[in-house]
Amino acid sequence: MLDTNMVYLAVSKRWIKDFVFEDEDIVGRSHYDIFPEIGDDWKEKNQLCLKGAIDICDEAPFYRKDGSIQWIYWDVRPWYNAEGEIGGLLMHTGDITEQKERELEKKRAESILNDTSEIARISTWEINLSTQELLWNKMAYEIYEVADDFRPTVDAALEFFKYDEDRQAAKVAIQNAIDYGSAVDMDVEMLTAKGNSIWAKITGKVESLSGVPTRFYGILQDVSNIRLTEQRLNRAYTELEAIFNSKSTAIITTDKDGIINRFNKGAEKLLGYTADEIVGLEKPDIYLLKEERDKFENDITLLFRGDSFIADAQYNYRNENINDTRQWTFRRKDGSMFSTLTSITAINSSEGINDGFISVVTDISKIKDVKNELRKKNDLLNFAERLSLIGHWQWNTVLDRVQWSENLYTIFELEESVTELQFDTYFNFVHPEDKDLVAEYFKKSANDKKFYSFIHKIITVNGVVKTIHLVGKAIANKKGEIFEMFGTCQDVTESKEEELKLIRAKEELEIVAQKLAYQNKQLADFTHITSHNLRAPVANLNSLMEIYKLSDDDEERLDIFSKFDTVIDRLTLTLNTLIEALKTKISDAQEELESVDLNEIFEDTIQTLSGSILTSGAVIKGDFRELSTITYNRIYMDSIFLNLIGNAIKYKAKDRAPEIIVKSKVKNGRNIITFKDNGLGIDLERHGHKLFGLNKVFHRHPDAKGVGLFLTKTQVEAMGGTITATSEVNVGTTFTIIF
Amino acid sequence: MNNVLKTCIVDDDSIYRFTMVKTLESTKLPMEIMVFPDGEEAIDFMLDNLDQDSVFPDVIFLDIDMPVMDGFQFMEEYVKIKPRVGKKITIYMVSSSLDPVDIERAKKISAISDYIVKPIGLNRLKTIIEDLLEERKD
Repeated sequence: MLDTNMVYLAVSKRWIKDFVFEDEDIVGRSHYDIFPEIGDDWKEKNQLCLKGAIDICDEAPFYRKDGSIQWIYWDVRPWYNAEGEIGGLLMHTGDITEQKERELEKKRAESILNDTSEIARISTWEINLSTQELLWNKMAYEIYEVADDFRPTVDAALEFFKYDEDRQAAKVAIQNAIDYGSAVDMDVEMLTAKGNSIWAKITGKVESLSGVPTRFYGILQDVSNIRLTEQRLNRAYTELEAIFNSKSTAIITTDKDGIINRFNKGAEKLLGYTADEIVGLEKPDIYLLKEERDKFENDITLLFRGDSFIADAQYNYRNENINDTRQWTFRRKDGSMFSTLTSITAINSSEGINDGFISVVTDISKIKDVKNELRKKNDLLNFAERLSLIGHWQWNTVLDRVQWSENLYTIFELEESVTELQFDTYFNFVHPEDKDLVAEYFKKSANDKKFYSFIHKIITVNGVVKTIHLVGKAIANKKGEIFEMFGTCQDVTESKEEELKLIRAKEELEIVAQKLAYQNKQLADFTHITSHNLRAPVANLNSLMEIYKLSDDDEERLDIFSKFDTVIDRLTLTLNTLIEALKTKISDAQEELESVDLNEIFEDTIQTLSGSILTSGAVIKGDFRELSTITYNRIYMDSIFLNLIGNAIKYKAKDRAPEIIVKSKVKNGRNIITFKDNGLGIDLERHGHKLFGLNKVFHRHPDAKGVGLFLTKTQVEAMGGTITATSEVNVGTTFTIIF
Repeated sequence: MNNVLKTCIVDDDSIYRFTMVKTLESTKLPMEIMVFPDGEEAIDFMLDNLDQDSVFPDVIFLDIDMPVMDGFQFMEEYVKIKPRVGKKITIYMVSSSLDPVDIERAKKISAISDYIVKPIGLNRLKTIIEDLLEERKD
């Protein structure tokens, strides 16, 4: 209470507490002395109040001289004395600073909430349960993608739900809220006004007034992104679990202290330990080799620190961003070792501190075995190729890329460092004489889609001529286009030479075989001759001896004796013929060659046979114009002419004089002489097979002895020629000798 | 006439024919001997007498090697007329050949009773003739 001069008349205890004047004596002091912060504006208001005005203020900041702000309210009005005059001011003020700050705090929180709602796409809704009115905030309009003038109702809001069961569930939830005041928390899929599918999380609770639910309110959050991320996370997690549960791949993880915390089924299978035995162990020394671990640490240190690394006690390689795949040897529980391919990945925190490792382990012992096997086989192949002088090749005909085996390089004497091989690489080695052939073969292969094996010559890098044998296969795609050829290439130079030698040897052998066969035949002939021609007279001699012994008649004995003469004469002739034939066969008639004048031989023969020519009236013509001399054994030529012309006269037709034509000619490079007569002729069908046999006679001619043709044939064949005959009974015979 | 064996010799070798006749005669067995110098003359004789086969021989000693028609060619012709011959004729192939080809070939011809290598010998000849005479009695 103040007087008109603004001097305190009285103060309440509360006032003293609010303004902290507990130790001071306020009464009697001027208001403006106590609060020097009071400005002129407030002083003016006080003056107005002293004139009857009332100044009421709910809140106003009071800037104190120490710099603090005190929020105060006041009610300032005049008081009147008994005379009705204004005696001074009645000032009622209070400190509302605390209250004011709480209010400001709330405003800040609301503002933050709004911002958050904006960012998190959270909308608010409120249903007045008594009127069923629905209120949305601004974000709700955004989420629902509806126009600003949209007036939401509960039914209309539910229409945005994608599925009817969600809609029914929401209705039940609202009913439950009304009936039991229960809260709601559901995730639903909605279709916005623009038809976008979103996931919304709706939570809400009920506000009751005196036990009666009045308001159902809450938030609706667009959780599509969260949901999507969640789905992805779920999938990733499931996949990860599947991988982790795989029995074919071992996965082992350790925590930040290097203690094994996961040991999957695959690891159990691979290592023979159960997860229980392993999980909790520090460091995987139980199944790793120390030297490999040390090498790993070294490698990693080297990788991240490089060569300049200087021992640093603080350095821990585990904190590096390790992602290493290499071969590790693992030790099973039973002590056996095997090879693995292991990927080790560090799990590092964002601060770069190791949080553990994941190791993915694949057993490659089988692959390694196969690889070793393959390497062994390859070595064997190389060895075999070297031994057999074979190389192999592969030609991608589309890209014209060629691969050669090691030994193929050796065959071509090409440096193995030359790896850019093409078809032309090979073709340039082809011997110039064979280039056309090779080009032709490859053209044919391409046309027929079939690789033809063939042999050709090459000139190697060092200029050596070799013969190679190519064998291959052409591979076509479904369209029938060739895209690859592969095959072998063998150096057959030596075998080719061997082959030539063999061919030569074979040819020689064939000649020998021919000679042998000929000699065999001669031998057989001789057996035959012996059989027939020597045994017959001997048999006769035996028989004659037998009957000679039986005979007691002298006359008969004389008769028998004369028969002995005949037989012995016959035997002598046969023996002489055989000796003659043997001489022909044994002597090398080829050594006594001379140029034989056929006209001369012919004349000599006519001379020798002049007697029988005269008696038979034979006409004999010799025509040697085409071929007058033959290099031959003269004695044989004499004998041939004598026998054939002699026979022609001997076996003349009964009713006509012999006409004999001897003619020489050259045909197909061979010298030929024919002896043609008009005599009896021979039934070759019947007697052809024994025409030239010894002692074979075909006519009941007293002089037929079966010797002439046998000797003639022996002589002709001894000189490497042949003799054949054509004949017709009663027309004549033609003998043809091919020399 | 039944007890006389008609014996035929077909051979171009006159000495052989002579010895055969002499040897056969020496057995003093009842025989009628006929000779031909080659197969053609023998087959011609048979063809000429087809209507009276009683003159046909009972046994033939046939040589292989002969001019004009040899032993095998004779057999070919004989087989052709055989169905028209009522009489049973025993044929021996006789040759000085030891050639297995000849022997085999002769054995393949069913009409040939046996292959005999020259010389036949008195005893062998006698046995053959006696056997044949014996057969005829039955």
